[in-house]
Amino acid sequence: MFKYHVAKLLSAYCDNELPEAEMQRVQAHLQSCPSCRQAYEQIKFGISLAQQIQTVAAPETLWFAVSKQKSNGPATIGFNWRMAAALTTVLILGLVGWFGFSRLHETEILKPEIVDNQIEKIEPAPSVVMTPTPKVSNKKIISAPELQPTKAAPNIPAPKVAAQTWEVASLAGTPSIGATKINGTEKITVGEWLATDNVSRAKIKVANIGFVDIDPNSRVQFVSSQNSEHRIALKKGKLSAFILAPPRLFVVDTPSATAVDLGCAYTLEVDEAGNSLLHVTSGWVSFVLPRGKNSRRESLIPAGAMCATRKGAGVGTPYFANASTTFIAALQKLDFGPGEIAGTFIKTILTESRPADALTLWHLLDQEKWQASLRGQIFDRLAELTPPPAGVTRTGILQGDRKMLAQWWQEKIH
Amino acid sequence: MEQWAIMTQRFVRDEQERDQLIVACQDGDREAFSMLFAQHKDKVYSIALHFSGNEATAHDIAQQVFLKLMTNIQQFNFQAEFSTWLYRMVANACFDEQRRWRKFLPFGDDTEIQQLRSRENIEANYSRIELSGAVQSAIATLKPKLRMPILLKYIEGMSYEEIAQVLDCSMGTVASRLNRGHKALAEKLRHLRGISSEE
Repeated sequence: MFKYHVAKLLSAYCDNELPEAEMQRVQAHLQSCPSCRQAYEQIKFGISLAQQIQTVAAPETLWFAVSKQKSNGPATIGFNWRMAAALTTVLILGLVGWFGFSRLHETEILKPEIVDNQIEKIEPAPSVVMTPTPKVSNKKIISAPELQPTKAAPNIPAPKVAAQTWEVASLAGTPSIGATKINGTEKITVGEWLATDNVSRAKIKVANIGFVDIDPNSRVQFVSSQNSEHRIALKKGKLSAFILAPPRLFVVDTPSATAVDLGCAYTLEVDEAGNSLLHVTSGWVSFVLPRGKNSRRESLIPAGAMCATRKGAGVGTPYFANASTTFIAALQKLDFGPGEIAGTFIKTILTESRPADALTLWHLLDQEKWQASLRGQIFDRLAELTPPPAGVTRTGILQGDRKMLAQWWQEKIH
Repeated sequence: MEQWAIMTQRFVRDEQERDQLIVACQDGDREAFSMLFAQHKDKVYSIALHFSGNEATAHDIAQQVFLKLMTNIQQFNFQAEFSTWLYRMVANACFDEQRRWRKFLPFGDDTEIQQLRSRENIEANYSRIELSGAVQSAIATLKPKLRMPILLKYIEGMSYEEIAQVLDCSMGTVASRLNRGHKALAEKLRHLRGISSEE
């Protein structure tokens, strides 16, 4: 009888995954075999434990990440008017509900938010306007998306010029737009300044692509709003941006650098001297020199990373906020300190670097101002932490082969 | 978000509509893809999270899966179940990530390190008598080949046959791995016996 123990069949037995005859055999065996019955109790307990495994909601940032990555690819994005109408409607309802405004807007948004009771009522909506084509700046690694409708719709009007006024709500105290105090909500027009004192806070609704919260003691100018770009300037203070839009649609100028949204949430601070500090909490942000400054230096900052700028010294190197304090201190000295002792700081940075700090080392390697020996040391440490992909060589990188550098970024670091 | 999920379920309530959604995705319809994403994101992420035991890694895995889905969905020919096709990508991405991390580990093998890490987690969870957390930690200590069938069964609700298709193995292998997985879980968490039945 005990020749045919059934211990190996018990999970399938419990899950009713055995043929009928086998089920009966296991059942009969269990009645007469204490050993297998004990094993059966153990498997049942294991199953009851496994049933405790819970589905976890995916983070909101997942869609941003997928959307951003895909936007950088070559695939053309199609368009479904019915779904776009649903998305647009829900977007409008969501924004209105959240912010307490009632105006309707035209542009679709990338984030999939659809309200249950809306979808069945929506007919193909000719008034829906396609997401505009963002302007492409001098980005060197990740190409900006070109979102174009693939299906012509003769009854669809051309994209409208975005509204030249945005809604602003007081979150605390009485912020002001020019001389106008904000009690409740007001509109801000292109060229106007929004100011908060030491107790007031405000929320700006950026067209229909997101929100910006302005902290106390801040000054912000509404620079422009077009379908291809929405721009503000942070003169001083701190803002928190939450943007749901294709990359490069929302831009913030500071006295020392320009933050270009690549689909994300972030905070940006500017001190009295015009220096700024960016902290990305979701997605990616690009930091470049302000308009008019001729430089191809661009820092790409992912979620969890920070980047500083100094007025007159430009954009710093991005780093993860959880890097060691020694690492961060050396990096700040390297970025904004005396250039003649760069080797000392680079040595400290390389010694302190972890695999995650490949982000920083790659950006350092991207700067051609270092001596060849220093660049060689950076290459060696980066290769140690994140080996370069096939085809990327030390010689090529040190000779300034930007295709290799880009390949390393895209395949291993990004 | 809940309304959105309900709507999504309604929208794809039968196979024909599911196929239409996939066809729309194959036509490059971004909104259709966002619907497809909405349907599967939580389960894909959950499998990645329970497999890797790390939120950032799970995020990366899920991101890779959906990018691959967007890129390759035209290759789906409706001859297999879409879920089988999708979760094969998920399983492959998890195993790839596990292999990749193994290369970076400074000593020993990953099982050893996972056991060390998970033992700490398990002890912490014991102190809180937090059953699902303890199970999650124990799952992380299972060998990857035992871990994945359990996740496919208990997160996605797959049958042995579907799991076999996803993992490209026989149903007997699936039965064996699940049996070993259940047994290992019971042994690792035998201190909790009694608690789970009260849940």
